[in-house]
Amino acid sequence: MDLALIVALIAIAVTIMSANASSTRNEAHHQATMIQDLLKDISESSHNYLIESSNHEAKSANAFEASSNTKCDLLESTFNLLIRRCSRYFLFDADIRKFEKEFIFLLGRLRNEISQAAYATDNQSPHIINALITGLYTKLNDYIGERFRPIFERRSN
Amino acid sequence: MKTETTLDVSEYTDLPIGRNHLDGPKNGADYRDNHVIPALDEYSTVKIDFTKTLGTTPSFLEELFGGLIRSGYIDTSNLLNRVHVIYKYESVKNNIKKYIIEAGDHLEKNRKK
Repeated sequence: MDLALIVALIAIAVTIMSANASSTRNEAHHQATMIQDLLKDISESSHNYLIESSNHEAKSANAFEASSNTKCDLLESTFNLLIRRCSRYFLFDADIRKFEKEFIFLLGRLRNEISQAAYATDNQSPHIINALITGLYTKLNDYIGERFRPIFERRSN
Repeated sequence: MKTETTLDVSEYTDLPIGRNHLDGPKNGADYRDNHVIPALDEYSTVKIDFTKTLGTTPSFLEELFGGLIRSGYIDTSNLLNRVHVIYKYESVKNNIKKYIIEAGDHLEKNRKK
């Protein structure tokens, strides 16, 4: 009787933990997809502004800078939500503080680079913006890959 | 000198963008000269609160904070100690610190020339 009770309690605990882990994973993947969509949007709007139109008046530069920064705000807000969701899981964490610090650093650089590119005619800017967006994608992929790595899969490094 | 005040940027404008008058009547240089400097004249600590704004841009922030250094009104360490920025996003707060330090370094280099 006692054994049956213990087994039942363990089964309930495992079910709750599994449901919790599954919910965290689904939410994290949802936020990650939103971040990827926003990065794609920033990449496309930067490309349209910087490469496809060469004549930048102050007014349009101002508008491009403001709209890009609003997108960066939304990106950082979504990123903060991802960090909150992933921090809740207690079994293991793929160094969330390192990921957070590196992502925020690159995002800060992206904000500045877009701002400079909006007003300058520097040919390097689109490449730097592309590299920063790629860096953000990569950091996100690396973290999600490591954070939700199947238990029996080896670590990548 | 009084101790502390908080400037609510949203009372100046909902969307603080633009570097100077060429970008519109509400801009970083105007906010610096007509709101932040008078507050720094009167208070030892000034909190600049962006919470209720709809967002801002690097050019507004650079002109506001970097401009305080470039104008010679205040030095880097004093500015970092006396002005506290309230902003939701960490990357923006890091950038503000960067603008202040870079403006200070630039000024220092020019003095040495």
